[in-house]
Amino acid sequence: MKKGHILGYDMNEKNCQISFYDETKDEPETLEVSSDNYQIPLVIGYFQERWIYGKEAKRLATVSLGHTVSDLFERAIHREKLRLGEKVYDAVWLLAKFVELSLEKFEEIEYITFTTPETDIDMSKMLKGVGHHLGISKSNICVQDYKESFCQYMIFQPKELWQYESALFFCDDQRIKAYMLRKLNVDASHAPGTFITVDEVANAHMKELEALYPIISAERAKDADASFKAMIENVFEKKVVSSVYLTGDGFENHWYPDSQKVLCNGRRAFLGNNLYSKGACYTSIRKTSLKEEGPTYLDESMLMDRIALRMRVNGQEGWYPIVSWGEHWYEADGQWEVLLEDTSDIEILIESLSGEEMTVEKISLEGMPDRRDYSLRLQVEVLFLDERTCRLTFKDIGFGGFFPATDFQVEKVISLGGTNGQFNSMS
Amino acid sequence: MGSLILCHKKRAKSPYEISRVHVKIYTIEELCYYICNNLYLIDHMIMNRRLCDWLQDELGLNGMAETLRKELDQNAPLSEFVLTILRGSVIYAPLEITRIQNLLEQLQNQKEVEKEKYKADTLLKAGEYADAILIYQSVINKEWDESVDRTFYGRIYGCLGTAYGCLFLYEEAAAMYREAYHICERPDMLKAYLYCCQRYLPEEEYVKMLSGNPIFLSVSSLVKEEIEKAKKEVDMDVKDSQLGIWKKEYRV
Repeated sequence: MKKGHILGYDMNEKNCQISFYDETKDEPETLEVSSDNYQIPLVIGYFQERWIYGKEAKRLATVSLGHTVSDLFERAIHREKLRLGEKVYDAVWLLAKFVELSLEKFEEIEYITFTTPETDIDMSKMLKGVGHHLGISKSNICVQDYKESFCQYMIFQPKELWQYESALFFCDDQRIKAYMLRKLNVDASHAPGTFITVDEVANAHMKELEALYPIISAERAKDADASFKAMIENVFEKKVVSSVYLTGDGFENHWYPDSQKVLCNGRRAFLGNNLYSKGACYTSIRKTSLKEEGPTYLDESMLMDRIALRMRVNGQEGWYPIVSWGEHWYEADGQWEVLLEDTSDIEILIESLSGEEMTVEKISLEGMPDRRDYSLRLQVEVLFLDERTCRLTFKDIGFGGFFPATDFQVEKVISLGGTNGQFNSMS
Repeated sequence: MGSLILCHKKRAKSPYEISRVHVKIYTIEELCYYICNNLYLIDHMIMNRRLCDWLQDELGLNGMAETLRKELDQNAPLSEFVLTILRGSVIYAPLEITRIQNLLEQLQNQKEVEKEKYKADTLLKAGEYADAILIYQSVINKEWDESVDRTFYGRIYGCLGTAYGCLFLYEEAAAMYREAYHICERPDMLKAYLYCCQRYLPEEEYVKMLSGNPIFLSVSSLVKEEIEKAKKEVDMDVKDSQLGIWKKEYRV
């Protein structure tokens, strides 16, 4: 394997899956555990003085040999302590060990995006901690939910597949969920299609599905097919859907011939089991290519505001965002170093997607040493105190061996709109 | 409103050291600052493969390092090498680059002795007195360039006087200022010469030196006035013995 890998890591209650950027194909590829099987069971064990994970650990658990732990993901979320043989471990530590073992093939990791069914501040902190444990800088770790992974996956597909709306159906042995990717209507100052989102549009618990495992009961399968077909018709009603994706173990047995006809009617449909890890890998590719091209994903948990500074970046003058819409507030902290051309005021532009208003705040640099030869260096720090409050700090950090730092420091606390309700105001 | 310029993220773990001026450089911004403020000092200490390797290994500027290596292979002029670094740093606005380019062109058109002088001037300003003295001396000890005005050499003597003066070596400084005044006949050089003489000569000898020379006498009284004025402004309360210790330490 080459160095500096760019990865997507899908993790849920049962399995994990790894997609990696393949330079030769310029596309993500998914790591195969065995032929056509990408899923690594999320089980870790200790046997004969060595750690084992995945299939091997699951096999060991089946024959009750050694010591194994399952449900690791759930237990790590609840910060449980687990006994493994003689020793007691933190579930988070065991999860980190599992991730480390599963990534052994990837010597050096440049960027990793974890994707989980849902995410929040605790999940983000936990997985960033796990990544950090592997020696990856926290700024090179991203955590996103499945909806965002679907969106990132779609952005990298041919435009005609998401020209209108795009549907995703997820099915396991209990339920079917339907998601719809759509473009958001923001005010006229932003180009159409700049912002997209994924809504969960249906979520049905189907008793019939239970009868599809392990052996298909023909009669119950027919019922399940009919229920699924009705669900599709309902979801697609009055909508132009460009493409359909089916994912999850539940679609493995081909029990839905009638539904398939509706799914494929006038559009392309895809069946696969590695969409989320590939979507996560696409996020890593996007982050490492330094080109934030393409639409921005938004959901109700994300920031609707942007804070920008007038800055020259790579020779181009413009408003450079230090806080961007489409970020989670708990992941939006940042630090930059900037040179000052002179010591006049710094202007901060605050924009909101939920309204057309634009605010300009000023920071006075009175008290800064007055040098005009590109040797005034400031550290700009963004720190979110909560989802609505952000503190900006500008600090003189000196200029190497030429000029020592002074005690100049100025702060500005900015109140933002938060996330409540604003997202819903956009159709 | 002034604009901000985003700095490069990478900071070197091992600095690039410019031993002549005892400067350690950690970032591309610092390198550019050093270059722009020391254009006359730029020589093999900057234009070399060690710098290319440092830019690549420590700052990850592979493209810039590669271009600079090619320029070294093709014996490109120093100005081209410098401009590649400044442009590649993307710190400077196009107008600023043009200004530096003009300065470099001026430098290229200068005579060898002028370049040497400016190099020594930069060292003098940076407080590297010993290094500056060596370069000034090498210029005046070589055969003088007749296409250059004699006052140019007079000014070099003046600068040597300043460098020695900064090291409190007043006897040597006086000798240099005397030569400078002899060539340029500038009153400020005479003033500096008499000040240095007053500092190193016993009072009797100094008075003897002034006697019979009305110009020396009038300038000397001017120097005295200025010293008194300066003393009042500084308001020093330091014993002579302590001052002596400081002078010794400073020279070391």
